[in-house]
Amino acid sequence: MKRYLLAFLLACCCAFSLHAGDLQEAEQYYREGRFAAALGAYENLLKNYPNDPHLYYNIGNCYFKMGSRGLAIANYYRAFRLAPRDTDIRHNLTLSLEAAGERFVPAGMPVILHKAFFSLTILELKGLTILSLLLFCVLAGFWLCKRKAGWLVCISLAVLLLMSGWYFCRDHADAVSLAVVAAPTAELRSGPGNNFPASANVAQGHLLVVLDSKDHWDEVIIKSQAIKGWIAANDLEKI
Amino acid sequence: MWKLFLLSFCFWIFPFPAQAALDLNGVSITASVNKTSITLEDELSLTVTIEGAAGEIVPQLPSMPAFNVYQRSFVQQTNNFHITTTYQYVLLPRFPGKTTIGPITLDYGNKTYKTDPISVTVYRSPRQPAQTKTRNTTSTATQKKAKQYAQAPADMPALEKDLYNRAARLGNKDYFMVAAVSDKTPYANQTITLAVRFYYARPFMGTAPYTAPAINNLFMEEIGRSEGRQIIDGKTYIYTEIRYSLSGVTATEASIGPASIKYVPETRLNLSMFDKMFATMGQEPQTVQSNSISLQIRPVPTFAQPKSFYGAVGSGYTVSATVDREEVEAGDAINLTVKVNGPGNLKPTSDLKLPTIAGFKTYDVVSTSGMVPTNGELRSYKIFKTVLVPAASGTYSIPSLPWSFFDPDTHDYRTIYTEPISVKVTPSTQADAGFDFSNQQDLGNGFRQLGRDILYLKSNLNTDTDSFLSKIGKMNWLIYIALIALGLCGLFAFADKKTLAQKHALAKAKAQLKNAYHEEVISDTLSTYLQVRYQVNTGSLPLREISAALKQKSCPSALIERFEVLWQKLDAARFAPVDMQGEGTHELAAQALELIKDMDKESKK
Repeated sequence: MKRYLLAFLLACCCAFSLHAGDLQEAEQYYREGRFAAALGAYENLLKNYPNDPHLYYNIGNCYFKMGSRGLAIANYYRAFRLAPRDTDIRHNLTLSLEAAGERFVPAGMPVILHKAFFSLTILELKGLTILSLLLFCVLAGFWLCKRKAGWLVCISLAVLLLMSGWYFCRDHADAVSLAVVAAPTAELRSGPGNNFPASANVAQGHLLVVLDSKDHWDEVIIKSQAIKGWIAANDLEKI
Repeated sequence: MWKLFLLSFCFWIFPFPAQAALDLNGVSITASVNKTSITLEDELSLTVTIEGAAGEIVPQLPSMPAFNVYQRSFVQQTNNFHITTTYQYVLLPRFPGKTTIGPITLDYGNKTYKTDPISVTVYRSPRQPAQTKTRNTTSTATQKKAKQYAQAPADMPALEKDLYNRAARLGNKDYFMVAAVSDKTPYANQTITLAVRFYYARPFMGTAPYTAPAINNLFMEEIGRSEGRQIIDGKTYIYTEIRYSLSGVTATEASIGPASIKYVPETRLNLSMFDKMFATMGQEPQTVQSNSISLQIRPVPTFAQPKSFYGAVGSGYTVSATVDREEVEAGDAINLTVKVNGPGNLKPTSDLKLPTIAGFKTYDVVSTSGMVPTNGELRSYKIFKTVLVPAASGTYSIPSLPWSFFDPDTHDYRTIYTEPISVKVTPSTQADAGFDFSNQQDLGNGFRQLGRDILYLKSNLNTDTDSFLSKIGKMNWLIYIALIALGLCGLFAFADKKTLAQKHALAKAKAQLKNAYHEEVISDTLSTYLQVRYQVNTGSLPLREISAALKQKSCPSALIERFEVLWQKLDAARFAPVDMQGEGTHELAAQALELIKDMDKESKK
């Protein structure tokens, strides 16, 4: 049994050292300006660590340096959803969105409030809401049985409502199907097909909300311009 | 020996590419005449030009029964390996009428090249006026009045007729000049022709310097020279004709001054070449002048003037539109060229105004113009160039573009159109320029921002993204457990609601008695408790009946007695004067609290 355990630990160490080597190799490519090679290496690593925000961040950097602003934004966004408190990810996402003419922090919203709203991941927020519910249930049960500490029940209820509201808003925000224009320019048409007239050209990097999909065409809203239309799915990168 | 062989080889090989080059360059043959309408006394000059053909080449003239044909000259020129051969023929008309010079052919390199046929109208010679010999020649005035001049044929073009008649009136001089225009009241921008002829019945010495006519409010361009003959009063004149194209830009009066020629008449005949060279010395040159002409330039009518009228006046215009490519990516530029050809001067016309073309962003039109004198006529062209940028992919059509002109012959406007052009636009594949990091600004304190860039890579993995809260967030079953526990508590509370009500009443009574400040409050608290605990309403009952009700509800007698004592004390305290009150409120409250606690204990037994 000890032998098997030792072999397992050894295999884990070997795998980790291999991946560390891949990471260094990718970084070396990046430093040499071979961004496509670095991108390939990071994408290989992503197959083993699909929820690593640093890998998404690095992939975003590679796309950014290769001039694919749309794909860079998509990957920064994925990294941000996994690690919202990471200041580097926030910086690069803000910079690339500003360059595309978009705003990361909505106009009129204080940055501190935006940071607070996105200070937790959706999973962390869910955990916090569950804890609030547990606390409330305990206190409410106690009150029901003992008719004591009613003010504590009120406070826990307030906390539960606050957390539920926060979680609801975040879940609603994350449930919106976001996409970014990945093609150099995408044409916004009035229907799902090339036979419909184009009403606007959308440069890469613009954020869109996907409403519907039909025959490889996505119905989208460009919030920054308040216009709606259909864009070929190939031109978009879903976040 | 081998050198000789190589030389021979080269000698034989090289002519073949040369021949091939000639064929590649193309051979062409053109024919032109100096005028298309002549009288029987005139002569016609036919020029045949052969381009790109080498060697002894002779064009085959067609049968021309209406003319006597003589060859005048043969010139062959080579310029940058391009050979031009020119044959000139003199054609003397034999009888009046319309005739056609058929295609002139050239057989060269197993191919036959042909010219276009040329139509020529030959007019009958004007009838010589009958020499009215008046027997009674009493005065010269009468002779002048009686003098009749030879009149030009009625079907001769107006300009030629005018020139002919003017010359006929001056035919008594050996040297004279006449000038005439094709129209004395042209429209603005309409092109008319001015012809100036120098007639001479006797030769002159050396060269005769010519001074062109001065013009006012007109644009003038020389379009060709020719020679001819005319018989006036039985005397044969040779004339040299210079033709100009004239156009007035604005509606106003215009004038053409006299043209002049200085010449030295040849007084002695049969001079040798040497004598002719020095014969002009010592002789005063003489000057002849043409007549002046006044013109009235009319404005074009504004009624029913099309929007696509840009100022062109004339007839025979053509317009065409071309694009440099018919398949393009969205965002790329297409060069649209619109070319207008026609008579006269197109330079003063305004630029084409492009309509809104669906699917394209249009830019301002840039124009160039030029003039080409062709066969005694001034033809001009105007080229409009603009850039069209398609905004999106798809198949678009550049519609027909209208071009209107005023036809002075029919006195109305006519509109011609370009052909529509179909353009296929594919989606753009060009990446944008990326970011501009040149946003430099001084941040103060010795810092200067040179630009902004993304932050560097993360050198490690972040696999530990599951915090405690995340782990809790994944435990959805906790929600159900909490809700089930809460439900059980609620169920328990509902099942034991009587006990809970009593507990609640006790807790409430305790809280009220703790802060009781008046006997009334103590009475109310006690009443409320009895109502919850024993369902006895004390509000309107006397003490005796309350005690009976409590007894009926199985309240112990000891507690009933304590209650009666306390109730009487409370009544006494409530209704007695202040100074008569025995015990204090706090003491009564303590007694009431003791009683309630004992009653509660009794209920749990």
